[in-house]
Amino acid sequence: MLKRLLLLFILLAPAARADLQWASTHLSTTVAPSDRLATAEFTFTNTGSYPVKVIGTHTSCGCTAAVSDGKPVAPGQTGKIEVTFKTLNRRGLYEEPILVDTNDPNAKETSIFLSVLIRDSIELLPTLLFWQPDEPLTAKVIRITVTQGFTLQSIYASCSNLDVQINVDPVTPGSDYKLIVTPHAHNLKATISINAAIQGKPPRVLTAHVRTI
Amino acid sequence: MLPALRQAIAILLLALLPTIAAGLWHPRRPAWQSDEVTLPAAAAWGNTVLWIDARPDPDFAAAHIPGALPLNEDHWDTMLSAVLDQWDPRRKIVVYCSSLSCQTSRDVGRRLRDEANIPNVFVLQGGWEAWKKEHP
Repeated sequence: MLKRLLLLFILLAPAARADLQWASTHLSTTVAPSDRLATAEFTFTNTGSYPVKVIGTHTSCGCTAAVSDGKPVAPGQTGKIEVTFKTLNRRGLYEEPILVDTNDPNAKETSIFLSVLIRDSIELLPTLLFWQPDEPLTAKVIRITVTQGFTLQSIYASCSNLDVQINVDPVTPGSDYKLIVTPHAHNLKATISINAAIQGKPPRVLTAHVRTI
Repeated sequence: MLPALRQAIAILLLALLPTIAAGLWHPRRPAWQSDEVTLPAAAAWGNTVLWIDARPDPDFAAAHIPGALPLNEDHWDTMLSAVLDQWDPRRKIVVYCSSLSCQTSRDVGRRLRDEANIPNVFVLQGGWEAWKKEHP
């Protein structure tokens, strides 16, 4: 009798299991900082034999929120995790891991990832120019590029320190410029303000910094 | 014995090929050189360290590493100016956020390196929790 029960348990144990099949555990999106939020929806299907419930989510940054409706997902049904990422003032590529906890003993934790590329309509690179202590104070360049699809109508740069000479050189008018910066004194700190008017967008003021030792 | 050894070496070499390929070309490959620094190593740098607190404003206001400057992405432009006022190329920047699992210090470190082109930017392993453990 005991042997039969054990055999039955062994045969039934693998059958009575939950299994989550994620449509994708990695999603990517490209947004502008002015969009304020990047959103993504991760969906999964319960391919197991009993209902599964998402009991919690964990993110690695206050800028990311992941929510589930918390309802049990029946076998064969789909559930989702909605992820939002704050884009304001952020730039570049962000790889946000999200840990999803479920009541499924076979997959208590699943890691999903949202990649967000935040591209502004106009970008400076680098935003800081510095000269090392023994370095000659020769000109350096900040590249100003306008993202494809936008056109720069006008650009004007000014510097907070008169010992810093600046000159805007159009490489490709409307989309690509060089800001040539030449300091004429050691031990200075200066801020360059770049006023840019992009077609169809409100005027922008971008900031770059200059340091010499 | 010798053929067995040859076969073992051959298997190891074969296993090495995909490892090298993944290390070179995989989109999520780990960095060759880590930008992380432990608390004892950062503390040994002494006054050359410029501590950067990447946590949200209320957390910085509640407590922070002595001398640390706030720099979070909610107020990036204004806070970056204040950081650059204290920075010079001879200093090392160590960024921290709440704990080992938080990503913010890595994002702030990346922006200092990639956008401002600042060398010697490190991320504190364990973040503020590691500091508090050593300075209860």
